[in-house]
Amino acid sequence: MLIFVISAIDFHMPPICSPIVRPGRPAEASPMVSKQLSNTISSSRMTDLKELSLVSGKAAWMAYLDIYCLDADGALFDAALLSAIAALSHLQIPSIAMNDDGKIVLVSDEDGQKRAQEPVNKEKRKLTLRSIPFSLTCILHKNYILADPTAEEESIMETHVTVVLDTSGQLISLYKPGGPVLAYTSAIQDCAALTRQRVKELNNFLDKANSAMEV
Amino acid sequence: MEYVSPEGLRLDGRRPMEMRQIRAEIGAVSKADGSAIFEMGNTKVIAAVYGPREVQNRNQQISSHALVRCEYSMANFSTGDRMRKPKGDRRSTEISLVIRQTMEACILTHLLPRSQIDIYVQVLQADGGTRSACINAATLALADAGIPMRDLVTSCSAGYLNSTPLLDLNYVEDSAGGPDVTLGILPKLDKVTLLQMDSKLPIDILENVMQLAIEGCKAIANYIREVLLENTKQLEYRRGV
Repeated sequence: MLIFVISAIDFHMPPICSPIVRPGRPAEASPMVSKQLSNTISSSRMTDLKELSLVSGKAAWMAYLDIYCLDADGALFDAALLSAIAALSHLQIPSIAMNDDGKIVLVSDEDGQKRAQEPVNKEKRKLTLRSIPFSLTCILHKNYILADPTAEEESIMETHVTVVLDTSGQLISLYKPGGPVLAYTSAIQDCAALTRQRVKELNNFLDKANSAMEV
Repeated sequence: MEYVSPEGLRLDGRRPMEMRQIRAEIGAVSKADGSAIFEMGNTKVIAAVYGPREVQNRNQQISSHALVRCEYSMANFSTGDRMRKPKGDRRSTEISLVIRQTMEACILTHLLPRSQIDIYVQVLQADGGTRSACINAATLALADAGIPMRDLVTSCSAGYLNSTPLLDLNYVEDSAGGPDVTLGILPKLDKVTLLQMDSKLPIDILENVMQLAIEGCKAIANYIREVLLENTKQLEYRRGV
C-alpha cells in the first residue's frame, strides 16, 4: 500500500490586493480559484503523487501550496496557476531517513561524517513535472474576444472563458461560469487557439526562470 | 551562545552598529492609492494604503478628523515553518494597533474629516524586525498615496546581547531573550512616536541602546527620502514636466 497526499492548495486574497477586498470577510474569488487550481493540478496529472511517498504504507510528504495575491488586476486564475507551477518546479524534496523507532529524520551531509542511517530517498530531488498545464482567460464581448483581461475589463464584461491546455496541447479544462454572451463553438475554438499560443510563451518563460535559478 | 565574536562580529557577519541592507520600492500594488515594498535584510514587507475614502461603517465616522485603520498579517510561508493562523492572533492584533497608533501620530487627520484611511501590511518574509519594516513600508505607502503627514515616521530596533548594544536585530538575535528596543521617530521634528522594549535593561544602558536605534532610524529616514525623491523625479519625467 502506498500513502501519498494531494497537496493542500490555498489561494489567499488579503485586503492589500484590491480596494474591493475588505478585512474580516474573505474575497468571494478566493475559494473559487482555490478549487479551480486544485481540480486543474489533480486532473492534469502533472505530478506523480507516488514521488511524495517516503515509505510505502507508512509515511509520505504533505505538500502545502499557499498562493498570495498581492495585486488583483484580472485573470487571477491564470496568474495563480503559473505561480503554482513555478513553485512546484522549484520544489526540492529533502533527503530523509527512518530511524529505529520508525520516525522520519532529515539527513544532513554538511558535516561530512558518515551517515548513521541510509536515506530513504537518495538525494534532494525535484518533482518530475510532465505535461504542465497553462491557462488563458478570455472575455467574450459582442464579436470580440479579449484575451488576458484586466480587473476593470472583467468588472464591465461578464462573460469569461478560461481554457487550460497542457504542453502537449491536450485540453485539461474549460470553464465558462454563466454570463449573458452565449459562446459558440467557433468562439471556444478561437479561445483554445489563443491559449495554445500562450502555452508556448509561458513554457519558454518558465524554462528561462528555472534555468536562471540553477547555479 | 555567543552572539558577538571576540573579533566584534555578529552571527551574520555584521558589526554591532551595522544595519542590514535595506531596499525599498514604491508603487508595488497598482490598485492601491499608495503602496511600497520594504526590505531589511531577509525581512520583506509589502504595504498598501487605500484612502482617503468614504467610511465603510457610518457609526465609526468622525466629523472632525479621518479614521485610520490598519491590518497586519503574515503570509503562511513567511517563517521557516508554515503558519497555521497568519492573522487574527494576539500578536498580529497588537502589531496592527502599534502601527495604527504610530501612523496616526504623523498623519494630519484633521485635514481629512469624515473619511477613512486603510493601511494594510503583509509580511512576505520574516527574519526579525518585522514591526520596524512594517512602519517603514507604511510610511512610504502613505507618502505614495499623497496623505498629508507632519513628517516621515521611521523605525528601527536595537538590542543588548553579550554586553554589547546591537543595531537592527535579526530573528536569531531577537529570539535570544535579551532586551529588544523598537523605536519609531519623526526625524525632522526629532520626536519619538514609538518606543517598545522587552526584558530588563539598566537605564544607563538603555540610553546607549536608544541612541543606537535613533541613529538607525535617521539612516533609514535618509534612505526613504532618497527613494521618494527618485520616485518623484520619475513621475515628473513620465508626465513630461
